[in-house]
Amino acid sequence: MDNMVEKGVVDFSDIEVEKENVLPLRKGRSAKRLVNVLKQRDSELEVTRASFERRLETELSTLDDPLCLFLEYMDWLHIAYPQGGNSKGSNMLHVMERCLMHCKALECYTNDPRYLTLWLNYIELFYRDSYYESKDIFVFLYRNKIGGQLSMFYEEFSNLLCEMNRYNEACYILNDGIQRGAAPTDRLRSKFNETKLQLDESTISLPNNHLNIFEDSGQPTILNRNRNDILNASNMKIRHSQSTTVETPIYKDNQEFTLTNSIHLDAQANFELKASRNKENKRSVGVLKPESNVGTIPQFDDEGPVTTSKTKFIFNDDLGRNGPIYYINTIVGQKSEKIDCNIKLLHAKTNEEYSVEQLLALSRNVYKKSLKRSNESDLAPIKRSRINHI
Amino acid sequence: MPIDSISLKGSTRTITEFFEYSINSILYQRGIYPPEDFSRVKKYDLTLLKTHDDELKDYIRRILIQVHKWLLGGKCNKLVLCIINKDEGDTVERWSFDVTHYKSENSSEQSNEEPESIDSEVTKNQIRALIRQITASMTFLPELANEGNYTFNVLAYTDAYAKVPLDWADSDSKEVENAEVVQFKSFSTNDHKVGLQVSYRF
Repeated sequence: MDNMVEKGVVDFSDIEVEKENVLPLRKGRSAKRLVNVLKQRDSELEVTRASFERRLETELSTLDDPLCLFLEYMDWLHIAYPQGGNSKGSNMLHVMERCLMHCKALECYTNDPRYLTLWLNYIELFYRDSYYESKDIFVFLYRNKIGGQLSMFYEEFSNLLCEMNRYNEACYILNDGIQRGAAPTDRLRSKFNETKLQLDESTISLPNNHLNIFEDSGQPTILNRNRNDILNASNMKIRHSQSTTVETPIYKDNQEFTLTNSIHLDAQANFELKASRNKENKRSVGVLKPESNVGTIPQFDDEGPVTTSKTKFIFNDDLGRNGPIYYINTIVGQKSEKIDCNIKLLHAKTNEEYSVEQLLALSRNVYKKSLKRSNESDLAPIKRSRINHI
Repeated sequence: MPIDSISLKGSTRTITEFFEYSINSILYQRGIYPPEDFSRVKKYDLTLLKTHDDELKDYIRRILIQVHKWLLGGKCNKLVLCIINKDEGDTVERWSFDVTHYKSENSSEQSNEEPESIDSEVTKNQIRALIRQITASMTFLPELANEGNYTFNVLAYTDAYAKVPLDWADSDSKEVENAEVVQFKSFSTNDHKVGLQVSYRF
């Protein structure tokens, strides 16, 4: 027993302070290596990373088994970044996607368990929070026949479908795997029977004559109202208002997504990387570096009259039509006066005024007169001045 | 020395109690028994999980009653919790509690480095830190795949002359091959020092 102490026992206190930064791995971590990594500086990590990148660049085209190099790289990333593949620094997503794309072109990996495992890890690591995106990737794999001869693929796919309560489709997938002779068949068969049992159980609990009720209650609600409520309400409205003769037809999407129909479509579908899938969800923001001065952030002051040139337009669907603009003339001691005229157009700047014709010329870009200041502008709000037409 | 014997009893009780809670914690954390079998209890100002499965409770109690007797007689210096794969029968993890007796009867030198009396509150804090470490160790320990496929064994290292009841059998040390070893914190009472290390396969 005592020789174990001599072998170099790791003191937990070295790890404990970082325990929240360590993502537990399914296969565990080497405590010794963990301690080493936690002591390591970023620059040292970068050196190793650079060496991997260099090897990828130079060796990749010459290797018999390029996946091996990628796997080595990713194993190192797992150890070097104990925060997990999702952490920003590790760049795991990029490396993984590069590997998946590179090996996809190579036929020898189509039924390689290591390659399939990598895909499964990829789904688990980056798409864990979305059933639908995970499903999309599985469908993509199915169409491209990646892992088509491996039971693991069908098992994982059906697991996902079971989680989504789609036992029927899960059975279909498993059966399909059996038909295609995926190995090991026995495991797949027992999984199929198991799922079939779950499917039967899930249908027993719903008697047939009540099925519709359950289906309805499962429908999505809009503003806490069921779809049928809204349908009824709009029907009622139409009946009340006699003027409408034609009932507006309301189209209902009866055709739910069915995996069994869509899965065989477009086999050459392109796979979108996570970054491009999420491109609409990201605002392009420059990275702020710590301790850098951004300068003054522009402030918008609300003072001064809002001029038409400065205001931002809000585009409505009714194109080109602005609502009428009123000028409200407030005189102290009297009731305020509402004038149906956009006086601000006439007095675009202080001490300047335009006539309606001038404005017309301005809007057509033919107004070329050097502006003369009018002395009586204060007295008369609308005053005719000379216009030059060209 | 009547005062000492009282202190020894108290110290042994503290240790046995610690064994009970740490064994329960490990069995829960490592998923050896399903989580439904455990319920929350407050101990050492921590919320810990303790089994309410009668069979398991009885099994642990039987072990600890015997260990308590050995400890009291200074006959036991190590208690090991082995997690064993049911299929292959090999040990996958080995949690080893080392017990040092400060007042060993046969070695008078040890009494020289005997520490000053330790406040029970200090002991409690140390135990708390150690149990926290057990929980935190899940960050590097591997997931034990196939839940329900593991069982545990308790080994007690005793003095060659210790009385061993019939339901205890001799055993090999059940080492983990190619193991990584991590040393945890330790705690001390007036009479004992208890350390813990885990060896696991990576």
